[in-house]
Amino acid sequence: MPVVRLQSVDGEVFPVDVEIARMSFAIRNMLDDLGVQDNDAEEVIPLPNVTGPILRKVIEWCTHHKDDPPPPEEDDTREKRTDDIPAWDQEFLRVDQAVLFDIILAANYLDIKGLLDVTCKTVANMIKGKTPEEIRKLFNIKNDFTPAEEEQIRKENEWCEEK
Amino acid sequence: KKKNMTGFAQLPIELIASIFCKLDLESKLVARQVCWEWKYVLDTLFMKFQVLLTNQSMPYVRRCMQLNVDTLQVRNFSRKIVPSPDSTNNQLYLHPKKIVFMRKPKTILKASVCPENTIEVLDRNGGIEYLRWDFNTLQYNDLQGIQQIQFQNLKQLKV
Repeated sequence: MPVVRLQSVDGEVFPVDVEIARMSFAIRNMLDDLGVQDNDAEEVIPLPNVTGPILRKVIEWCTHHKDDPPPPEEDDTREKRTDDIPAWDQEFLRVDQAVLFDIILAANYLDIKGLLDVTCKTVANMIKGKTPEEIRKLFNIKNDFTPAEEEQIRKENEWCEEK
Repeated sequence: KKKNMTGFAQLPIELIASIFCKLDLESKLVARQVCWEWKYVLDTLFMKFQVLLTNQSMPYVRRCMQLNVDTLQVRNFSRKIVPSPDSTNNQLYLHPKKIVFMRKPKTILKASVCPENTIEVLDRNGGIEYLRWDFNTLQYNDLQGIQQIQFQNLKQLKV
């Protein structure tokens, strides 16, 4: 199996099967632009936005999901579901919040749709069923509303519906 | 990546939106109470506002005029046609029960406030000569068939 070398921002180099690396559309485009041949095993792809520990996690996820069928076309009803995270992914994403957000950023930068989808669902599940105050506490968000604004927003909620 | 920030603060708005689009309506309504940034993202991308036009909600409606409104929908109203003497310029008075503001980012509705607490919308393309709402005619009387009118590309709305 041909291999590419992915280099994290902190200099760590990961040899990865080309087929797994190509699950990232960003890397796929880089490889295509470089015209990398199957036997160019020494080619190093620098990834200036991803640290070693996060890149290790991303590669682990891609390796586990390398035989997945391609994700289905966008579908609104599917989009909303968050209770369909595979057990392996749930376990894989049982990490510190900081790591989870770093994986989201990496999945976005590397353009790995499946990983972005499952990480966003995981965060959405952390939001669901909580009060605003519980959400602020969980994500360490400052309440920048005045009490009067809070009251106004609660009133507005009676008039809100989805587009 | 925004420097020196952790958690949600380091996410660009498009990623926050990717997370919010996984939320059901109930969770979105809770999330818009968390902080201004969340409220802004949710309101501009996911929410629309359906306002029962009453004396109580009028201040809110006025404030809406200053936000980015692209489309105004009027739902569930009674109507009354006031014929002009020569029948060439009949006016249709519509008394709305609900108005819906569709917000879109980066579009500004030019709005002006006039003192009579009336809303006037002129729509010469849709066959309606004149639309007038005012406080005294907000009673929900008789619904006569029309369910909804939508005004797009509003240039001006007077409140």
